[in-house]
Amino acid sequence: MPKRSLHRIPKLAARVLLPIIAIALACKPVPHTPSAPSSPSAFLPSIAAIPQAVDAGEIEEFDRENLWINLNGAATYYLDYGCLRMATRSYRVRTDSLPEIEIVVKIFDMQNPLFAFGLFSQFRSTDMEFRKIGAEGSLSSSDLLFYRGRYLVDVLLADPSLRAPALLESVSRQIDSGLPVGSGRPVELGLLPAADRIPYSERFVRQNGLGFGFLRNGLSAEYRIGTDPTRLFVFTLASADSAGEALTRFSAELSEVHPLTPPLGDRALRGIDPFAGETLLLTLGKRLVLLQGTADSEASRNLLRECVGTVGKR
Amino acid sequence: MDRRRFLQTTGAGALAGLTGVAWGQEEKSPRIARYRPLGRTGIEMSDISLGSYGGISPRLIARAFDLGINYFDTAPDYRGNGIASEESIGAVFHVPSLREKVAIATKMCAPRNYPAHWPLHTPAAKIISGVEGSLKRLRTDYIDVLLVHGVGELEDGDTERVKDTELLEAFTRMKKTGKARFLGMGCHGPRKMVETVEWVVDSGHYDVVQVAYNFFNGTGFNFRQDGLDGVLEKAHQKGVGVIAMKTQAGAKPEDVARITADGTQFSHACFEWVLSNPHVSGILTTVGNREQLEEFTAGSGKRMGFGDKQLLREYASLYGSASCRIGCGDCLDACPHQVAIPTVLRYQLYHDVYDRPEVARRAYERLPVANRPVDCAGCAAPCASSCSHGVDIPGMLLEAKGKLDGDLA
Repeated sequence: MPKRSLHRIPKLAARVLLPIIAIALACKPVPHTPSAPSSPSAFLPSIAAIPQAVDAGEIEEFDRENLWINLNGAATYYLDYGCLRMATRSYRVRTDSLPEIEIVVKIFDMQNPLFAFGLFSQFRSTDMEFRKIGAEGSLSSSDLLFYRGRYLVDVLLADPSLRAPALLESVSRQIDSGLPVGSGRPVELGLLPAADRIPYSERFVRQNGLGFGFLRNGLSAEYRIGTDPTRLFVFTLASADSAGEALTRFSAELSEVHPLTPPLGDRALRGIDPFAGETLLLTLGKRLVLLQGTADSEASRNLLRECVGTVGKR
Repeated sequence: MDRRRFLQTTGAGALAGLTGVAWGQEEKSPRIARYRPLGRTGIEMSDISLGSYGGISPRLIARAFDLGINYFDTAPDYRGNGIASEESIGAVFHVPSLREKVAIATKMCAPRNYPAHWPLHTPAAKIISGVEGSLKRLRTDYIDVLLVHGVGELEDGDTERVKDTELLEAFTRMKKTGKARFLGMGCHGPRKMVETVEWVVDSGHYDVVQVAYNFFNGTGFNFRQDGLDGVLEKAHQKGVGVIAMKTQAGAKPEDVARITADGTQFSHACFEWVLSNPHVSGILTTVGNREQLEEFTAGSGKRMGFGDKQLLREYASLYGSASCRIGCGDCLDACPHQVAIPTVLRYQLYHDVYDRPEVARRAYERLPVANRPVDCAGCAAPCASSCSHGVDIPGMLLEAKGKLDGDLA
């Protein structure tokens, strides 16, 4: 090939490639659209999926407007925790040890893992047995409650006088296997220090924390300090000013109020709560932190310092 | 000082009275202004009393007591914040000097999430065992009023639970041993509410009826509904105590806000309407926080005024004229074609009054075809005379079909 021809190749390539590159750069990238959340009815098992099921009722679906039809006055509680939709179905199951029994499955779309966890944490208690189903599950005498991601699932016996824990577990695991994977406990739990935390003691309240309308979005957990369990609360409010106001209002409920020395956080106080004993409280930006039920000691201060660390990271 | 030592030294008896007194708030707080006898029970209950669905903190219960509330309603399936409401009540009133000053009512059901009603023919021993659990959580050795719960909510035969001999036997045994003082029945329909209450009153077995009763039970300017009012009067005459619940008719805050700048006025108007019936001893209401508790308590002892009637009338005309009354059920068996009348009319309400046409149509589409008003046009309409509230059922069903169903007849 003649020398002059070779010299033209880079220019030719540029003439061809540059426009192509320009066009490519001018095109907007296609945004990744996350798929819409599935209706909870999509996760209700078929009859074939439940061993020994002989019959199933119709699928019923409810939304925020008509949830009360299924749950009556209890619907308000679910709605307060953000429930968007619920799907339910009943199944008749024949087992070897029991006469034919009816199981009811209810799957709630709670919008996000925090709300699902929050409502779950309201219903579970230490007199229930914990099960590693979903992100977390709890088994009582006649129902099994668990959550995974945004979905809260209740599997219960229609007759609460019966006991069938193995059946409740197997149905729950069947449902769990169909829920979207990768959804563990809500990330917001990272606000609470992990060390010395009593397992399964975490809770989330959206409103009316400790019975006060100004305490909202509260995560809490119990910690072992000394002989008594102690509860740590972290309320996330609208702003630092709101947190400061909440601290002032809550401290008005206490007696023997003194500044915490040495100080922690933005503002810190200690006092006596007539219902929970000694209380340490402080603000960290828009967060109000309360530690209740333990004496002011090096151990309780250490817990608060750890909390300052975990809150500071979020 | 840690929590356990604190409670031991001060005593729970000191808790009541600490929720406002020490910090100069007491003189600003509302108080219960009226107590009424609860039938023949000897209980003088506060006109505004406390329900506890969804869990309630001991702090709120103690505050309620401080404000003069002396009747507390709970159930084994009421829980929130990881504890049972029964435990919260027990945490405050386990001290004998406080316990004797309040009446505690709980229900015969299983201690798990709602619904947890014992089904028909549950053995008496199992029912008693359930109540023993309540006594333990309440930290008391007796219950003032023990109720059979949510009668009429489930399937058609559910109202038979009030006649269940096992249940009645269980109560008789508990009364003999001093564990339960009085028997009650709680009902908000929708099935056969008036009929069931009348049976309960006539039976002689029951001491208390607890019913859904609110201004929607009235009609026109009279605000009285013949069926239920008559039965409540009969109950009163026979010494059966009457407690009202659902007194605010499930009114949504956003709907209330459309007609009044002050939500407090609406709640008080609701309470006043109910308590203007002399046969009602008291109302039960649930509260979420201290502010709400004080708002509701401030409604105690008030008399209904003209402004209150106007407010309720306006709300009823906007949100009640086309709707079924909670607990009515008059039309449930009226249709020979199995049309789900109350359900269809409710969806029409969503469409017309709540301005949610898509929600209404989706809900309507989920109804089995057999339950939709497909044959109304040529029907003799026996439903027309079934509604004691004067709702034009045939006309409204045809209208609903036109709005909710894409295919016209």
